[in-house]
Amino acid sequence: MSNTYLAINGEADNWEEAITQCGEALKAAGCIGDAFTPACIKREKEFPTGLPSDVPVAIPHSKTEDIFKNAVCLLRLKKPVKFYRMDSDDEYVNTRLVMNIAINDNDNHVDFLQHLMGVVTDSEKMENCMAMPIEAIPGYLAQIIE
Amino acid sequence: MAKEVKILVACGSGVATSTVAQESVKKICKDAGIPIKVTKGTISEIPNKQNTVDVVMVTTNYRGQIDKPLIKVFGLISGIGKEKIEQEIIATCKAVMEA
Repeated sequence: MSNTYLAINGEADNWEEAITQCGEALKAAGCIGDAFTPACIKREKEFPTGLPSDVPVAIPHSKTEDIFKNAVCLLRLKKPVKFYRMDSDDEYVNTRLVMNIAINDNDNHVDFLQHLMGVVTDSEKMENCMAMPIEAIPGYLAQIIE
Repeated sequence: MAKEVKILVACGSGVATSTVAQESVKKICKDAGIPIKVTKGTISEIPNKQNTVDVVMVTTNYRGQIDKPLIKVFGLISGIGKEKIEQEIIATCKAVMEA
């Protein structure tokens, strides 16, 4: 099964809005159902997903049945929002890149997930995502992740 | 035959980071010649599942109670402090094998 890659520009006041915008794009593309975004928000509150790399990124995701197509939606924000860090309860990152990951059946996607984590922690690749035209990002992500 | 070390790798949702960390842990132990059996889970499963394993590894913060050795393996994903974590994993697993 092939993966869907989406990329959108946006503005958000906080992480919850950022996740919601990703969810709307994923839903419009037929990748997820209604339960996915609330599950991501709930999970983010308990277990945040901000990564303190040189170019900080957040990778909100959740395990739900409501994923129809494996997909990644990159939201590129005009201004950074605060995401709490995955490895720390009281520290946060300010990030302009939010990558909402919808993956079902994860055990069959180990390679994909490994590549994806390699990509989001690779500052050069994330700098490229900041710089390139938004419509070029889905193809770029497909190329560097797969 | 050497004793198999049972490891639980847990993250917030049991999806992405524990899958990636699990693969790293398998490789580290294989290279170090440590036989392991890894299971994956969520942070909230730790209280129940810890009794069935020798070592618990987490990719996120765990504040709850734990009776088993706990290793924070977030660095296996971010790459920050990776070598130190590898050493800790190997040392902890070897201690279990020799116990």
